[in-house]
Amino acid sequence: MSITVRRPFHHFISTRGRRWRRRTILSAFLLASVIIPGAWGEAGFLFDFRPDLVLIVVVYWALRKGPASGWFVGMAGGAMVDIFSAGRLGLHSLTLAATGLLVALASAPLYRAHLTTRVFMVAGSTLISSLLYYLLLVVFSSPPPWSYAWREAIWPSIWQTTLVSPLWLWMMDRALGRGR
Amino acid sequence: MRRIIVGAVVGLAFIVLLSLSPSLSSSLKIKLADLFSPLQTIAGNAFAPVGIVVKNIGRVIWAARINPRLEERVDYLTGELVRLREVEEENKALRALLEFKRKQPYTGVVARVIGRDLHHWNQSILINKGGADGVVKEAPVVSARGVVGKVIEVAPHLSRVLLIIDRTSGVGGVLQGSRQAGIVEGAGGTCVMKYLPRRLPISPGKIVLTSGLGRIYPPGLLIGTITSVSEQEFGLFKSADLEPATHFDRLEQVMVLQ
Repeated sequence: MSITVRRPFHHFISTRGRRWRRRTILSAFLLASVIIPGAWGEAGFLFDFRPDLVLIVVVYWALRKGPASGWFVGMAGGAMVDIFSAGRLGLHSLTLAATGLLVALASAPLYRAHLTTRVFMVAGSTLISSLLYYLLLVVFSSPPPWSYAWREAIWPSIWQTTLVSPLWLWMMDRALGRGR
Repeated sequence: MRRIIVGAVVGLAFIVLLSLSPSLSSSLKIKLADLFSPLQTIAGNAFAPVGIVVKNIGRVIWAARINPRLEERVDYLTGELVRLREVEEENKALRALLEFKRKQPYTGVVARVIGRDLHHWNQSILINKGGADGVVKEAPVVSARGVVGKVIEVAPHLSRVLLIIDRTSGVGGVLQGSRQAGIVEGAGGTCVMKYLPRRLPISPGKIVLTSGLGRIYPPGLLIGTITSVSEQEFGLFKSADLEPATHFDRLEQVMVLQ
C-alpha cells in the first residue's frame, strides 16, 4: 500500500537545491559559532563564559548525517576554531573531527532523539573532546597539569556548553528542519 | 575507493598541519583570522551595548556599597599626597644633582579589543591593530591599570595578544620595596609569582612590578598585588598568588608599546 502526501508548493525544491541550502545554513552556523563567543567578551561579564558552540554544531550534524559527515564537519569547524585560538594549528581540527566521528558511530540511531537526550550527548561529547584535546597536547605540545586542565578548561567547557546547547540545538532544528 | 582517497588526503593534511613549525603555524593562523576581522568587529560592536547596560547596573550597586570606604580613603590619600609632593621635590633636586636624563614616556599604538580566545585552554585576545600600524611580535601590551600581555601573532590589521594569565605566559617581576625578583606565571584567571626565596617575608597586599629582565616588558609596569603566599617548609623557593591589576573581563582599549 502506498501513501501519497501532498506537500505545499514551496517544498518542491530539487534535492540538490535542498542540499546546498542546508550546507549554506550549516556554514553560517559554524561561522556564527566562532564569531559570537569571540565577540561577546565585549559585553564584559561574559568574558569567561565560553561554551563550545562549534562542538554543538558538530554533534548535531554527526547525529543527523552519520560518521563521514560528522568527521568532515568536525574537521572544518575545528579548523575555524584553530584559526581563532592561540593553540597550535591542527589540534582542534583533529579533536573535533574525531569527536564528530565517534558521536556518529556511537549514537546515530538517536538522531531524532528528544532535545534533552541530545543535550546530554553534547555534555558527553564535550568531555570526550576535552580529553582528546588534552591527549593531543601531551603528544604534540606541553600540557598543563591535569588538575589545572580540569579546573580551568574541561569543567567550565562542559557546563557552559551544556547550558547553551538547548538553545543552539533548537535554533539549528528550526533552521534546518528535523529530517535527515 | 573514493572514500579511501579522501581519508588519505585528510590524514596527510593533518600530519602536515601538526608538523608545521610554531612560527609558521601562528603566522598562517593570524593571516586567516585577519580575513574575518571585519565580521569580528561587527559582532563585537553588537555585543558592546549589552555590556554597557550590565556594567552600569553593577556600577550603581558597587558605588553605593563602596562610597563610605572611599571617603575614608580620600582623607588618607590627601595626607599622602602632601607627603609625596615633598618627596617629589626632593627627587627632582636629586635628579638634577646627578644629571639624570628624564626618561621618555612610553609610546605605543592604542588598539581596541575585538575578540578573545574561543577556548578555556588559552587566554588570549584579538586587537584591531597589526603590522600595518607598527605592531610587532613580542611587543608588550598594557592597559591603563597595568600589564596585559605580549603580542604573539601579527597580521596586517589584526594581532593576537597572549594574556599574562595564560598558563604559558611568564613575566619577570619584582616585589615593590624589597626588589626581590621572581617569575610571574599565568594560572587561568590569576597569576602566580614563583621562585621567591623561602625565607623572604612576604605579606599579602605587596605590589608586583615588571623587572625588565625578560627584555620584553620594560621595568616598572604594574603587574598586580600579592593575595596569598604558600609557605614552604623545605626547598629553596616559595610562590605567591597574585591578583592581576588589569581587569581582563573589562578590557576594551589597550596600548601596544613600541
